[in-house]
Amino acid sequence: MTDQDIADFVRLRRRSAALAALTRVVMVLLPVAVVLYGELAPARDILTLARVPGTAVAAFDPATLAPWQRHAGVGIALVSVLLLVMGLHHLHRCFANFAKGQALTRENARHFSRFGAWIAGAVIASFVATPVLSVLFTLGMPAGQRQLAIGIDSDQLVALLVAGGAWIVGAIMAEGARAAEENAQFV
Amino acid sequence: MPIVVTLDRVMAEKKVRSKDLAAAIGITEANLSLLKQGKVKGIRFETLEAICRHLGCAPGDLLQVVSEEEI
Repeated sequence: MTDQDIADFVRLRRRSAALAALTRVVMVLLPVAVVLYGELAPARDILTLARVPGTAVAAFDPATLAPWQRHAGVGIALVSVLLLVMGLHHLHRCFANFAKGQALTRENARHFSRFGAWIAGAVIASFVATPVLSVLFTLGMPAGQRQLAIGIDSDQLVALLVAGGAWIVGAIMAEGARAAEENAQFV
Repeated sequence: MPIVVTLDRVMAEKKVRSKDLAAAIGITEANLSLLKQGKVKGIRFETLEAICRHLGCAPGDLLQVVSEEEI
């Protein structure tokens, strides 16, 4: 290892420690933010988030949104958020291990693959949540004005690609860790 | 046909201590001990060359092919 390699590794450990702390904070704040937004945001904003078309949002009477619908909506939105938090937990473990100087290990590879899997789960849950939320929020509207929205946006597709990429990188890391373990048995 | 490491025998003949050899060839005493016991998966040419140079021997003096019955 050259001095530059050592300096890079020390920098990686420091940054990983910071990112481990950041992921922990996001893991706590994200569900809280979803609950607060779902309970406190104006009804029309919530409808927009559920991808209800603009014309239907304009015709929406906020008084038709009962508290139970908000609570149920928060519960449904929390499913994908909690899957995301699980993914972040595995990412946090990766960063924490990097910070301890354990980079290419089977454990990190496993955490990184699981991070990808949970993120993919979160994206799929958000695909499913959209139509459920749109129906739930417009249940109080008169017959014929209730909405069923189905939508995929570029953010979800990017997240799905990131998840697939993380899964592949995890598999590559596992192979690298196996090679590193074998190399360590050579003197 | 298994390969047996005969490093300990050569070291005894040359009266070289593990600590000195490990320091001379740049590996840990723990790894040298594993090598002497044949408990490693492989030996790098670099390590083999350093050992041979320090002990004044050939690779064939350190490694021996034995039959299953001899083990």
